[in-house]
Amino acid sequence: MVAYAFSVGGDSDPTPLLRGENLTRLINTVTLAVGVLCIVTLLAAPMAWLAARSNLALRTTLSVLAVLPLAIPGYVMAYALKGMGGYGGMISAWAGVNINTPTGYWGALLCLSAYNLPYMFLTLRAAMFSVDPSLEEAAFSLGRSRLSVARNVLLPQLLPAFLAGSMLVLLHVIADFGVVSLMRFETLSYDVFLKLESGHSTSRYLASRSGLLLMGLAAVFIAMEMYLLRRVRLDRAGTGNVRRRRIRLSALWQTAGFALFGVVFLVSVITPVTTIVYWAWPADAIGAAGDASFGFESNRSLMYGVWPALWDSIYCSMPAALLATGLAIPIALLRARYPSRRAFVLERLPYIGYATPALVFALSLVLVCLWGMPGPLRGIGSALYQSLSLLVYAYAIHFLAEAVGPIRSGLYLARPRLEEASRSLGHGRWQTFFQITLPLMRHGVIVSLVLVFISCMKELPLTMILSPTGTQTLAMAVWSNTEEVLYDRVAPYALAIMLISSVLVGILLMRGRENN
Amino acid sequence: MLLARRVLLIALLTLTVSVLGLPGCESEDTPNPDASEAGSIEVYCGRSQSLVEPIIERFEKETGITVNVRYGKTSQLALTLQTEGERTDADVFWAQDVSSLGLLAEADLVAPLDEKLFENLPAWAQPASKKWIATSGRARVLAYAPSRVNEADLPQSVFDLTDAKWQGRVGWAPTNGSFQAFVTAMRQTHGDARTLEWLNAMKANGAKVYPKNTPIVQALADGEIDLGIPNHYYLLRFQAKDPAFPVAQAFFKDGDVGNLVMVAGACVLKESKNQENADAFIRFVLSTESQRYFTIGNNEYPVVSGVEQNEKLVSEEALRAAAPAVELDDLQDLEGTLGLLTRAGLL
Repeated sequence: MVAYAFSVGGDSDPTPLLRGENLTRLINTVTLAVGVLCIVTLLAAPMAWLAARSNLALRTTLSVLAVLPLAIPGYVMAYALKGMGGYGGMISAWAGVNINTPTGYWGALLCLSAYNLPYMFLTLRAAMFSVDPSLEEAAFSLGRSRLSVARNVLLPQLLPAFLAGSMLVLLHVIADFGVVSLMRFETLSYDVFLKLESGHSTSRYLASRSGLLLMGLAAVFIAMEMYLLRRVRLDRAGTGNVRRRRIRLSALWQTAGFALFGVVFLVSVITPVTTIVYWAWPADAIGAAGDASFGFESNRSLMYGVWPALWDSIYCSMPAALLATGLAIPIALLRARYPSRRAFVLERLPYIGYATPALVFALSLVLVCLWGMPGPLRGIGSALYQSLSLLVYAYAIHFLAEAVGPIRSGLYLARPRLEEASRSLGHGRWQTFFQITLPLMRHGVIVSLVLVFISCMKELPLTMILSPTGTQTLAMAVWSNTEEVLYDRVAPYALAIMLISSVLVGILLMRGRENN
Repeated sequence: MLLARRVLLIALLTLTVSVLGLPGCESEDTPNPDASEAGSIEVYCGRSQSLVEPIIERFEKETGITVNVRYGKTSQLALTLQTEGERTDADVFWAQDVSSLGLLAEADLVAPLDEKLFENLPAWAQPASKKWIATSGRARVLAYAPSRVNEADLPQSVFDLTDAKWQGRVGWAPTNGSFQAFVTAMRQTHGDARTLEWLNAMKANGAKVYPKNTPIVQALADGEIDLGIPNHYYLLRFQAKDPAFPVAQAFFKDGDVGNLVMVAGACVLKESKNQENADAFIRFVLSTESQRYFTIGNNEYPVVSGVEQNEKLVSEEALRAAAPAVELDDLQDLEGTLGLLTRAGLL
């Protein structure tokens, strides 16, 4: 699809691929991505170490707290940051001083770091759990210093996890639209959106160029990961389990550890939530809705507009979750039961959709629908454009990777022996599938459904570009009202997003515990 | 292996069905998802939701006609309408600025309006073609932060904003429809070359880009910028909430293109299957009641004679004196303006 965009764009417009503002925006994207990666790594590495390898008190609770920012999408973070400072913001109302919270690069850096920290933390923590301390002990016994052990033994073992976490963070940052647009920091994503929305007749060519640049950037990151991972082998030669060993921390280090988790939690959860609750406080909302109404609908409640938006969110996200899960089941089944080269490739395919920045994906769909269809199919194309089915399809493909993972893990737990027994007792393939396999991977399926649903509900750029007429999901409401500086109106939508995602994730965690 | 192939086939089939099958079953029930007895209309609306929603709700309540609104940027909606052509579901296009309306009129996508509707409108709010109708008026202004800029030091022309004195202190919104109409006016009065030069000079002078007018005014209060070029009514909205809001606004010197006066407008689409309801909607928007809402509630200029305008607005005479000599019909070449903005690297 993007190749089409490029070939069309290539010959009809004289401007080069890298125009002045494209270059600036490319550099902006890279500096932002690298900046976020640095901050996230510097914070997540010690946090993960404390959680996995030390005897820090309350480490389990602290780990849960450290993951909570996942319930706050980047654009909600950006909204909270904007609503905090400035004239009439929370700080000026409480402290009486007019402080501007950062915007531009620093604002985007802050929001995206807060949002992405949990991804890196979870990946590194899991890796540190699985690293065998006996290797380090062997190194110590051979007279290596602490620093040397950390550098030569521990870090190389963490490399794959670190690279995987970095990929997630980098791809998130370059694909982000909500934060950079609200923070007014011009990255390539923003550029694609700007061109797509500009309405000029050449804009779709220019948008495709920027989209291609963005794809290229993603590809460069992925290639870098593959290059760094070449010839890394970390399997254990012997047998046995990884022993858990925790390093005792002195009181001083315990305090420092607490402070680290505390500060991160304060910045990435408490502050945004406080700001949002401040703006949701009824007194402000009534004052705001009352003035401009002049005889029209003078007493709107705070929740005005939230129910329809909530419905729109569910209406768009639910079918996508079902479709993605429906597609994921055969993919995971093939991979787990009939491993072959083709199944392996098939299983990798969803990651392409996941790694493609959402705006580029949306752009390619728009191009195909409006201009890419050959003559007789043109009607179908424009009927698809901004139809619910296209949006659902886009969601499902974009988030398919999220659905495959849990189902596959669920399948690994379901032993094929049971299926074989069922077959040997004379049950057919389908009967076996519905009576044995599906119930066995039930938990995985539910996890997939919920994960994809949450992601779709929070998704902004795909929704904005592809949603049908009159749709306004929670995510769109947060974004557009923030852009219009109607901070009091944003609050209930933002709260709804945060509540729904945290409640759903909470249910998953509890179910997971029961199942184990 | 055989089974493997079959599962693969099913996966592919699911994919195909999802792509081809879904639109089929959906298109049957989309046209009128919640049509009531009085019928429904589909409005493509380039105006901000917060500005027009009360009017739309009042219309629904009074007539029982359901209004499905697609909010979006005016220029993008116009493009969508052109692309959709005769397949469009839209009945009414309510635009933020006149160029998009002119575009649709030229493309012959517009249904004729009742001549009588135009009788009450003053000359400045009338397009020559009468293919669309003005719904409310507004002016471009110079907004500033009085604590950091003295009234006496304000630039006299929009061309003075490129002065080194204002480096990094000016906010603008190049993607905004009203701004783009102003650029179209500047092309009319000063020519394309001079306009492009001004755009580039503004950019070089560190003008800060905002997505809309409202954040420009907020940024003036926050202290991010000291001057901005929004429409006149955004500040008045802030002041209604907070009389001490630390921003003021003024016109440039009389006749400067930076004081452009323009209108929002609407048209009925030729392909509309609900022409009657669409006409009823337009009539409602031009009723005294709605016009009073525009001026008192939204601080806009009414376009219907006899509706008393909000006292916070400058008088109609003062407005006409400040306005540049640009006709509504001069503001149609949006494509050219977007091209200039693209060339300046602003889009």
